[in-house]
Amino acid sequence: MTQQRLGRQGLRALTLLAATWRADLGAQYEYRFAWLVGSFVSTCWLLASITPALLVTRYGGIAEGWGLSDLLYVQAVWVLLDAFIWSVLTANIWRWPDLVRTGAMDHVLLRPCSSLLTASLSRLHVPDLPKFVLSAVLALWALTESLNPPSALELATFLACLASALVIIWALAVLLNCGALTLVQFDGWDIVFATQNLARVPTPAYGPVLQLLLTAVVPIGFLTTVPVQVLTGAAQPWLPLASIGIAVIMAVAARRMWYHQVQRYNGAMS
Amino acid sequence: MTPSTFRWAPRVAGLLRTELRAAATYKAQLIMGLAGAAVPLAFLGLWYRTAQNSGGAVAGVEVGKLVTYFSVVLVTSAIQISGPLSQSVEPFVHSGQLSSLMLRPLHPLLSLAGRATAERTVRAPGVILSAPLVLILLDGTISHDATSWLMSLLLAVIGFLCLSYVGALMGTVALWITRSAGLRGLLLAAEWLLGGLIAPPSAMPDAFAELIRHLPFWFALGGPAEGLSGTVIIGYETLLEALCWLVALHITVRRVWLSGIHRYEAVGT
Repeated sequence: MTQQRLGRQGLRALTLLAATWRADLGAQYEYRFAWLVGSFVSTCWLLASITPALLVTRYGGIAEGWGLSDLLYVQAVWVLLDAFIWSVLTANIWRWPDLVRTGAMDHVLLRPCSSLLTASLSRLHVPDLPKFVLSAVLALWALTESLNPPSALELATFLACLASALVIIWALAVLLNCGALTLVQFDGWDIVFATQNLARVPTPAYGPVLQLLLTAVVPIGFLTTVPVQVLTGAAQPWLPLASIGIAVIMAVAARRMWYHQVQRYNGAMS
Repeated sequence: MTPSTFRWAPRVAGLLRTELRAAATYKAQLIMGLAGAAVPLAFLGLWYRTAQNSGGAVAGVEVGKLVTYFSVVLVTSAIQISGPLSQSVEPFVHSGQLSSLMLRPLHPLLSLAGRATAERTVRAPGVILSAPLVLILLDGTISHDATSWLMSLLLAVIGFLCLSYVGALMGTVALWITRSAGLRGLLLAAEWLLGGLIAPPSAMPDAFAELIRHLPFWFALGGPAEGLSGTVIIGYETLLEALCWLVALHITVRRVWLSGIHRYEAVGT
């Protein structure tokens, strides 16, 4: 019965998400200039992101097995994470302190569906959506530079690891910001961005000790390095399973922390 | 009677004191500021490993100098106020609160710069203290020439002011465009690409490296780093060039601000 209720709530949440995303797309259609500016700025950022990869390859790369295509794959995955963070996560989670201060969080919590999903995923920041396209373009470029295109199994496993990476970063953002529901001032975005920025570079670049730390202790390696290693066939077989396992654990932790904070939430305050 | 030139000094001191007290109330910022070290450290890892993989040097710059370069960039990037300054103008413009700032006996941009400076002062210590740690752990080699140190420090100060003016210029775009947040992303991208945050200029193509060594982004970020690491010698002509940029930016910001404030309706948008 509980599982059925969870399933119905999840379905309602997804329907609501689709409706709010459509509304956001329609509302921001008025600001088409902002879309153009967003695309231009995103392209400039893409240039800033791939320049180090192009430069280090000129000087021999960071290590054996990390050529230009691998570094470009890392950047493509990173840009996808960046697109998800800026077009979805910041559009929602960044608003939590204001929603609590104005009392509007009550409206979010009273909806007849998963409040966590609607509070963290319902809004879209449309000017950052072109980053998803740029990520795909970068991945295609990496594919053309690659000597060994991925097999169907590697691609499927890569997509699973990529989904896990998105869940990990979502859960991290929720865990580090849900304190905003009960505390006067709480902002964990610095740590989220620091985590994201440390994932720009493949973890082997940090040396063996830090690589172990950034894979086993703080799962930064699972954001970009592991998905790319899976795609290029360089990953050990247990890594995709570990990636999915960590994503599940973090999602459950985020859900529990959210509802713990909601129970302590006092309602409309000024 | 105090000359008008010095009347602003106690006002600025009062502003900084107030803003520092406000910024320091959120104690977690002391630790959160450490997160600012992530970007330079990530690129340090990338270039350190590349240098080790290619025989101990990249484009003639040894590993030790690379470590020093990124350690200094860690500090110079942590103290810049261009980003917060450029972001802080828009909320005041669109809420109409800029009018109350204009009633203060200080330029509104100076008030906002004071707030940004206070925020950085609270957040930067953690990052600044980690720079020597990185130097020691990774065997960075630092220049022993006192002139180099002096020139790099002077360049860092002038570069800080230049980049702050650039941030103020980006912020004033809010007086013209309703949604200007996207454009401010360009400022950050420019700092990364043209300031030497993503790679030391020596590792870039020669023509591009030569170009960026004449821009205010390099004066603020990569220039002091190259000077202190001994990669480049900072001469008097570089300081003079930076001063010329400072004067030009001051005049530009002043004109742009006056032009934009004539359009300001004081009721928000």
